[in-house]
Amino acid sequence: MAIDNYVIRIYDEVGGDSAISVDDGDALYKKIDNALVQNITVVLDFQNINLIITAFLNAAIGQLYSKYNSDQLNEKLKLENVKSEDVHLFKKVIERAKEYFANPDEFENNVTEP
Amino acid sequence: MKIPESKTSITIPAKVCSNYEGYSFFTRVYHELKNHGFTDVFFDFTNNGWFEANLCAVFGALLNDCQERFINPVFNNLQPKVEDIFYRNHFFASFQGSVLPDDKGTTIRYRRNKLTEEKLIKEFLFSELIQKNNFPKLSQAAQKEIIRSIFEIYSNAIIHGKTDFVYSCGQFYPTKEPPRIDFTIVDLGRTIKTNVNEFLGKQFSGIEAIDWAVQGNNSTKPRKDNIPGGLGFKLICDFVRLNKGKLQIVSSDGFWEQKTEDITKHALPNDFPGTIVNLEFNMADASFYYLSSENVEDIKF
Repeated sequence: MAIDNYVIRIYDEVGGDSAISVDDGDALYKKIDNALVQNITVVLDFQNINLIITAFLNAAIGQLYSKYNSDQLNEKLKLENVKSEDVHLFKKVIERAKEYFANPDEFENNVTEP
Repeated sequence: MKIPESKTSITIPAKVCSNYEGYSFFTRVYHELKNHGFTDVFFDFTNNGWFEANLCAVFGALLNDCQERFINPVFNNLQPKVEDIFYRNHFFASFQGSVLPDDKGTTIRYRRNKLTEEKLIKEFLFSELIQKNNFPKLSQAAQKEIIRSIFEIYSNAIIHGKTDFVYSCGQFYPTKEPPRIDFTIVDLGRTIKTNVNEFLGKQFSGIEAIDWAVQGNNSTKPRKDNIPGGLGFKLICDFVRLNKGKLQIVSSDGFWEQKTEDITKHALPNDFPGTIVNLEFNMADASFYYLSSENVEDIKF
């Protein structure tokens, strides 16, 4: 039977309470992407995750903006059990990814002499 | 012990601190020894009465680099106070084979970690930073921010340094005003200057390259990887401001420091062959935290 809702428990995914590895983030991105291309809703459950760094989130979530837009992600990607003190990290990573992929050439060429 | 005249020796200054002079000293050590090999080198501590223990991360990285060239370091005329801390923080475990228990409970041990050991490093940091009885009691939010800041730096070393090992050491200074914890992370990989200049096709100095790298939207991650970057330093700069702490970055010939709001930068007399990041946490207000009333529903893709 086909599923339309896929829950990924980050604790299992990263093997503990810390989401700190870029490789783990990249592996998570691939899982999310696999589900989204099949139009399956993905739930990322951050229960028992006590430490998250932006490098992990950039790889896992920021990278999604290379293929999906905000509307698609708001519809098909759900977050659960994110601790309140970590919310600002998600917001910054999302904001940064949107800027980065909105106009990558401009981003890369936006070089000012320090 | 008298150092034989025919032997190479490095005189350790009276004070080695986490400041421009201290980092300049280490770049001089590298510069003076980079062409030596298959010899003893005497480190003469006769005049040295103060060596900030967190800088063992820098010293250890350079000594390991020397050992790759079969240089045998000899520590000469160490003052008892300095010798004691080198034993207690396990620095000498790497270079002389012995340790002493940390009866003062102020050290965060010297470590040389493989960059792939992120989870081991995390367990180590929790036991060294959070579970020590003599350290100030921190709010959980403060603990998280400190550990997160350190990991953002480790992560930068992994992504950008492209080297095998990262060196770290910390120290709690309870009698400083304000009391502080310094934690220093060193890699001998690609410098920020090399990465930034290669990425931008520019000829920035070390200072200019660090200045560029700490800005919120800048990253040298290759576009083809499709992974945005550039937030790590920005978040740490914000945290340093909030905590009234300090962030110091040394890479190639650049020294860059943010103390609360104020930024200072200087060119170093010699290049450092990698990157040093020193985080100084102000422990006077152990309850510092981010005000956060946000919840998961506030996250919009």
